[in-house]
Amino acid sequence: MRAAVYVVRLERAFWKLMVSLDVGTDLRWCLQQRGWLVDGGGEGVFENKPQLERSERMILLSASMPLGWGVSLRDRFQSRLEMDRWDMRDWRRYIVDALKRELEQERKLRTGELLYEQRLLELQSGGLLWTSQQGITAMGESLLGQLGGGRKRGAEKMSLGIGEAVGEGAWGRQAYDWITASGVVMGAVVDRADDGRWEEAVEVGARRIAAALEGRSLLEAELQQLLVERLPELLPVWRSAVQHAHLQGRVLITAGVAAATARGGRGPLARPRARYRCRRCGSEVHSRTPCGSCGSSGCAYCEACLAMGRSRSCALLLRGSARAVPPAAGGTGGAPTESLLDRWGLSPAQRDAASAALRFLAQPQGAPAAPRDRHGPGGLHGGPRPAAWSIAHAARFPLALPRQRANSCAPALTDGHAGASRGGLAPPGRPAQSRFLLWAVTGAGKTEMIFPLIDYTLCTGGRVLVATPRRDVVLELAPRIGKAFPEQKLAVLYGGSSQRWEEARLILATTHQLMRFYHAFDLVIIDELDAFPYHNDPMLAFAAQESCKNTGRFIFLSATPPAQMQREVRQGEIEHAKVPARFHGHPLPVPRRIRIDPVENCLRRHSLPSALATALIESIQRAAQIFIFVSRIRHIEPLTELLRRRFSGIRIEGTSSQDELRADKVLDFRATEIRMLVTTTILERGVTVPKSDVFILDADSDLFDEASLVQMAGRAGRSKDDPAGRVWFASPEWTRSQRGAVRQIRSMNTIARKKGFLH
Amino acid sequence: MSWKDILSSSLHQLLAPSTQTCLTCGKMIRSGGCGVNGFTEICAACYVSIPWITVPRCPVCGRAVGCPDCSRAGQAERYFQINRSVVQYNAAMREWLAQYKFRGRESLGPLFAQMMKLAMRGMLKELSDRSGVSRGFFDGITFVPVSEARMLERGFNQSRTLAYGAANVAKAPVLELLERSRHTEKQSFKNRKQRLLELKGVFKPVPDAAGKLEKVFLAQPYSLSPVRLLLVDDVYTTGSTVDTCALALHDICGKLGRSAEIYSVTWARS
Repeated sequence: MRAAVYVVRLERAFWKLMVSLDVGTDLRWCLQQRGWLVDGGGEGVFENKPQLERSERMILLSASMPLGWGVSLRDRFQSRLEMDRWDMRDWRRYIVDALKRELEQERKLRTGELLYEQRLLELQSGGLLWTSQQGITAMGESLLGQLGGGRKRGAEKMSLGIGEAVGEGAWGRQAYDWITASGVVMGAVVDRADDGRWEEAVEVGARRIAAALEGRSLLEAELQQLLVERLPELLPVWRSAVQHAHLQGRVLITAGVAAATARGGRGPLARPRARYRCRRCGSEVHSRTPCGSCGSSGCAYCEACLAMGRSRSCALLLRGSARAVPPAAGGTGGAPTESLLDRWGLSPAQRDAASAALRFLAQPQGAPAAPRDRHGPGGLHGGPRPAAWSIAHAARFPLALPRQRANSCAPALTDGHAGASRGGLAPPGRPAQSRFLLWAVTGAGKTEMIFPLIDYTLCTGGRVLVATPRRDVVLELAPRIGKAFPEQKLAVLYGGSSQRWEEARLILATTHQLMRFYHAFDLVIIDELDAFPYHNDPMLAFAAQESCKNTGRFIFLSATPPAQMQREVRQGEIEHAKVPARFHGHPLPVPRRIRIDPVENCLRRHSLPSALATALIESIQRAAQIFIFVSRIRHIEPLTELLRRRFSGIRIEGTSSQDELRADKVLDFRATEIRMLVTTTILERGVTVPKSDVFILDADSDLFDEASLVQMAGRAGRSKDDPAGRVWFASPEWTRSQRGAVRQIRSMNTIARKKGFLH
Repeated sequence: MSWKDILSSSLHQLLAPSTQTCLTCGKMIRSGGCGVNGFTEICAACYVSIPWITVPRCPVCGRAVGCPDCSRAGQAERYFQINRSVVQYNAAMREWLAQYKFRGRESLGPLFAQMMKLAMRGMLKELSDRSGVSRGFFDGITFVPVSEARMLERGFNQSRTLAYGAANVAKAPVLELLERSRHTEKQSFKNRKQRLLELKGVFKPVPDAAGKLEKVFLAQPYSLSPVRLLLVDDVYTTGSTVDTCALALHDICGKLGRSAEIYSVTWARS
């Protein structure tokens, strides 16, 4: 999209550059001398109280330019003394100079084309709009008049349906008269020329839109969907309403993709170069295309988060500031007590860990026991760093920091003016949230353990997010969480969820949905943090980071934390609690080894190794459900055949990610209709089948890492009635991963025994 | 520097075999793709899965299977000569187009353009066999426009990309001649009659359409033969869009005192 750009001269002798979706709203704001939000400039960033500053001049620089350019102008803008003496020609020169890089790229893409610069920047449309001495200029008047559209047109519109008014365009020449005492939408039309009513309409609209955007990070298309569902009366005026909320500092206007300067490599030849990053998902952006929406020939768009709607240089990204929660100490929630844990019926091991996590939540902010890492899971640099230091450092050495993806983008996220306002949009270089790892063995009952944590945060007035990488897990968790918190509204979010735009203090979502939030939550719980697709996806880690408030807390749940996090645990860099025993108080089954030929060879010879067959017969005889994990999908079919021929008395099926009947087969397997299920790592987690034994064939395959071996082994012995399921690693080789998995399982059992969690 | 760093360093990358991801299925493939017919971005499996229409069964609309629409007796006048399409519109192609058009994955654009080129070669050969005109069969290429609102939202017109792909082979200028006066709802849910009704008057000439065409006419000032224009669209379903646009193109040419022959090529035929 395109947006207007203007500057105001503030009374305290400096200039401020603003981007506007509807410059008429800004001009009215200016005429009423409501004052502009300015950073307080206090000592340290966090005391930075925004102030309102009155203006004495307003100059329109361009009525319409690519939004991304306007935003980068604003983000790079620095007030200079000589600006007081500038005329329009100087301002035009300034803009062309400030956008040098963008214009240069444009020139390269448009070989031989003339005058595109004028068309793109529309600098000739600028001019003085208002001064405190002379009042509104002719240009300002005509701007307001133009936007007014005239009473007559408004009257014509009165009789038309809502569809027509929406079709009128996003500029919203008329607003539906929804300001009735009862809040009922009347369907009448407010003409823009009717100043008083218009003002009121925009004011109310701004309030509603800001409330709907609280803690959100939405692209224009997403905002439109939200409006259609929740605030259809705002559709014709959304631009004005958003702009009004922006002026109040409640909504940040920015672009989906922005340039972040970074070093072009290491070593002496490294030169700074412009890199584009997606502000929503943090990914580097490489694709640039001509854009019919902003007119630029090289509008960058992000391919990484395309599935969530297209983020691009000229895409409007709106972020609403979240309401601050009163500090826990003063609230009614108070410090957590053991009694909080009673109602959940936790096992001793669960209770131990949950109470450690509660203590972590109750720690006063700003004094976490362990150093934090702003990069979340997998981040590479540890060690505490005072916030003030890193800010000063970033300012002085802009090139020194941006090697890490989050850093290079974060400072630009905040608009200078709205920074720190109303406790929401944070200043650059915010400290990382503190993190806590709940390392709970498979079958420990993680879900029950998070209930007291959710409860505590909700009681202290906070917002809670429970995120998990997979949609089927979300659907499985939803009823359990709903049951645990019957009086709390729960929004369940995933691709295609009908609750997408609903407001709730307790949210359960897939990790992808986190991209739609910004500084929204006081507690973010990430389940199965080492599972696909969250694990090793910096985009989702970035989204998780962004969704949490500065003062918020992270709790990670995993049975098999990634290597990096295990290292942090060993080095004491992350607070954690281990749940070493299952809820039923029996030790984890330790995998045993069978030496057999690779599956490939067995299939070629059409023979089942006798050692494997013997073990399978034992399992069949003890009436166990048998999981057989293989490393490759192509082995499933022939192996199932081979097994069927050998064990003709029982039903044997194979399933994989490519099987449409997977869900049914898993159900049949649980119901013991199917006795033997040949599958891949697709079923390594999230499946609980009572009385099951696990066979992992080709356990030496490099497709099975330590984590997935532990997870697969964790399918056995989960029920109270059959806690001692059997696990077999069948392979010719004994690999590091297998050794590691066995070691991990044994050490958890040892800890559990020492702490007395085992029967 | 740990081993991990070394393994992920650029030095190590130099020694690794060069790979890329397949544009359509996302799997790691060797760089250069399948390489068949200049398709360097997709893997062999994806290339093979493309349901090309090499021999159209219906001589009019280019459908690969028998076509009741065109053979129906007593049907209304048609404003275009023939249509040819690149692929059959199956589930996989629908997904490709959806990725490109609705999700906005513009990196698929070059692939689509490449597919158009291939189909254009076939179409030109067929036309030259029939008419004897071997070079410069088309005087100009134009495409089905999107509405302004759609353009602002989406940022591009998929038919325009396809038109440039076709122009590359047909060696004719791409002319932007039409505009969409209003936005129409998605066509996929309507029958033929509803479509025709709704499309009435939707396509208008752009303000300087006549000027653009006159330049074409200048190239062959005394010719009495009709102007041959190629119209490009993404999907041909009932032919109503193509027909309505063709009518609008006839109008423009008629006002300039020239008769026209409109041909159509689409990326998919449903």
